[in-house]
Amino acid sequence: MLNKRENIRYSRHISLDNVGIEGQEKLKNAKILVIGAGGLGCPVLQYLTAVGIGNIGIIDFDIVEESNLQRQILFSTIDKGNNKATVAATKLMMQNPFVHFDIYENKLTNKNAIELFENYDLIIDGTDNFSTRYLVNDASIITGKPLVYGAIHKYEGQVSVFNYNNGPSYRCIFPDPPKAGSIPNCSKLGVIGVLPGIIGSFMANEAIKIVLKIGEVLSGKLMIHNILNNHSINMNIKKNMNEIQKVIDRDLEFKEFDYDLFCNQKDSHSINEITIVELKKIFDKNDSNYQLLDVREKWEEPKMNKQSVINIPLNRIDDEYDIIDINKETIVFCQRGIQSLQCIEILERKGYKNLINLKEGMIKW
Amino acid sequence: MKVKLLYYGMISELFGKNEEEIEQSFRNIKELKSMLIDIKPKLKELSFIFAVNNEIVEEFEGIKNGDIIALLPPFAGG
Repeated sequence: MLNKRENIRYSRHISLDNVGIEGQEKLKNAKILVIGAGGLGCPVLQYLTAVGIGNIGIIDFDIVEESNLQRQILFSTIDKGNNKATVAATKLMMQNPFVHFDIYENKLTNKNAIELFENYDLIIDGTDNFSTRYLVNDASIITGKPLVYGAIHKYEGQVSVFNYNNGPSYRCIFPDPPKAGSIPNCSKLGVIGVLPGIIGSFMANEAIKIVLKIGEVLSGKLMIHNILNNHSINMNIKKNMNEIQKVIDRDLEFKEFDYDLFCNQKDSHSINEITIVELKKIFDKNDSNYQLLDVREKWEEPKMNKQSVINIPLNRIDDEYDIIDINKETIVFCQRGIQSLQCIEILERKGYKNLINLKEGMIKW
Repeated sequence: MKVKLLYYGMISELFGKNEEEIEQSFRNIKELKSMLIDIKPKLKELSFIFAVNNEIVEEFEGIKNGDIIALLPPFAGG
C-alpha cells in the first residue's frame, strides 16, 4: 500500500495508463541488486531510487577516488576515500526516504553470489571487468534471476537483458572470455563522463519495464549505442542452450570455479603477499630495500613507529600517494589485509609496481 | 561480391573508421575473418564476434552480396 506522501510523490507515474497505483506498488515491492556503484551503477541507482523501487541492494568494495568524479555523479569531492556502496546509499536515502537499502561493502565473489542473488528479483550488472561479468551471468542463471547488462568502451555502450523468460545469456553472445589484456577497462582507456549516464539510464529503464511488465524488454537483443554519431543498433542474439547448460551442470562447482583464471586475469591480478613472520624479519633487520606503507588510521594498534614506515590512511591515499617512492618495493599493510589490498589496486592504477600485501594484516602481530 | 562492414569498439579504432564497403569474394565469415586479419594482423589479438544483417552468427555462416557484417568486441567498462 502506498501512503499519502507516496501517492503525491509518484503521481506522475500513477497518471500513466500502464503504471497506475498497481504499477507503482509493483515498483515498491520490487527487490533489485545493483552490482557496482561506479559509472553505470550511479545513474542506475539514482533512477531506481527516484522511481520508487522499494528494496535496493548495493554491492561495491571500492572506495571513491578523485578520478571517479567526472562520471560517477552520486559522489562529491568530500567522499574521497569512503566506500562507494555506503556513500551511494547515504545520498540515495536523502533522495527518497521510501526506499530500503541493503549495503554490501564487500567484493562479490563466487562464494557469496548465490546467497546474495537469492534475496532479489532482478540483478543489474554495472561491473568493470570480465571475470565479475561472467560470474554475475552464471550466478543469475543458477538462481534463475533476470540480469540487466550494460558495458561501456570510450564512446560506445552495450545494453541487454539476459536470462529473462528463458532468454539468452551473456555466454550466448560471448561464450569465450577475451584474450589476456586485449580489452582494458575504463581506468586505463578513458571514458567520456556522460556515456555511463546514458547507458546506465537505458539499464534502469529495462529494469523498470521488467518490474512493471510493460513494453518490449531488450531480451534476445544486444543494443549498441555510439554517442559520437548517435547511431544505435540492436543485434539479435540466438539462445545457445549448450552454453547455458554448461553453467547449470557446473552449479555445484560454482563456488570452486576460478573466474579470474577463466578470464585470463590471473597474472594481472595476482598480488604478492608476505606473512607477518616475514614482515617481522624485515622489521628486525631494518631492511632498507623495502618501503613500508601503513594504510590504517592513526589510532589503530599496534602502532608501527619505525621511521621507515609511511602512514597514509586509505581514505587519503588519493591525495597523498606521491610521497611513496615508486621505485622501491613496497609492503602495504592494514589491520586485516583487506584495505591494504584495496590500496594496492589503487596504487597499481597509478602506475606503482612491486607492491606486496601483508596477508591477514597487523591483527596477527 | 560487395558487403558493408561495421566496426565497433577497439576494432573501429584499429581500422580507423566505423564502417566501410569492400568488394571481394568469400564463402563465409571464417574466410572474411582471415582476409581481415591479413589486412590488420593485430585483429588476431582481439576478441570479437560477427553479426550478419543484425543477427549474431557463427563463423561458418555464409555471406551473400549486399550483406551488412558487424564486428562486435565485448566491452569491460562500467
